[in-house]
Amino acid sequence: MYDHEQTIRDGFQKNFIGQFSAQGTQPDNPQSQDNSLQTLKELGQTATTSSLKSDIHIIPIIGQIEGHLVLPQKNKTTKYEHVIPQLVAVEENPEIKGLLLVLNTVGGDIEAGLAIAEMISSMNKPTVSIVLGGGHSIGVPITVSTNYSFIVPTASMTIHPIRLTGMVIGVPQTYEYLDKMQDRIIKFVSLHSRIPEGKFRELMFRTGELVRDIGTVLIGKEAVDVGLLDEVGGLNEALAKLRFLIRQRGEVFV
Amino acid sequence: MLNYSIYPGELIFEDYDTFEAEYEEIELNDEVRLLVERINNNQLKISQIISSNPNYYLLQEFQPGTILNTTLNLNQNH
Repeated sequence: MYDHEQTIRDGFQKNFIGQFSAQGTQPDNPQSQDNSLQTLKELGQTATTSSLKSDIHIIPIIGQIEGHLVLPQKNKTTKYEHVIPQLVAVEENPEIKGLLLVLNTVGGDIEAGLAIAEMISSMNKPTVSIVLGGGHSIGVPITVSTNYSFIVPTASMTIHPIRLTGMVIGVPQTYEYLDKMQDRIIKFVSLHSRIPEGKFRELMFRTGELVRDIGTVLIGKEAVDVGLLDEVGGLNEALAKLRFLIRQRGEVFV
Repeated sequence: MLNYSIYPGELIFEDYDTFEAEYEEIELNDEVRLLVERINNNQLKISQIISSNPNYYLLQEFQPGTILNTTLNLNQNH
């Protein structure tokens, strides 16, 4: 096991397990027979899941991307204050060779979404994303931020203009501000995918596609055809691509 | 705040005014603190990890949403 991680686990157990115990997870301590027994009783196996090691890590981006406001509990959220340090840890940990990003998100906070997207795009380790179900709104820049992006045939991506919630002052400056915010997204997406800026803007403001809004829904192959994502495919293709990128990276550095 | 989502704001922020969570900060060691939400006297839910060591964020035990069972009643310490 990675030494540093073991130190952290030991410290965690010394300082914490005495007082608290995590529900659903068992401390990974070979000295403690009690824990193994408990695992055996509860799960019918001797090894705990935390001892299964993988050289690729997965980060799921699900529900709402939670930003500066804590959302009410019924929302499923992805917290940027947790994902960003995770990305740093993945980039720094020598045992992790690549990152798989799984998206099923309805969008969320612009600043939080763009922060995650910028972090991923500036990572040195190979990254692959896969869109399942939906990768809408701010999910679009996060998807294209990886080295290679997949979408399953049934998944959809909605591209639409930013809306303002709460009080809106009806002055031209409000629209200029919205335009500026939209530009941040459009520029990022066109920089990290094959789609030209003008085409993405056209999709964002297209009328007649959405029932109650302007914008476009792209389903599966359509997202690839417009140049937004790289390929239609599922888990097998995504993992194969990640392994390929890891091997390629290894050859360059060795 | 700008929200870019296909869900309408009124749906996301429904109950926002009445929603209140109380957080407590607990110190595990010199390197890591946890921001936890009290569910009841014996259970705490991890909300956030506060540490400058990135490796803590990958540990399964610390993932936000994990419920910690306490055998000590922390209220006595306050």
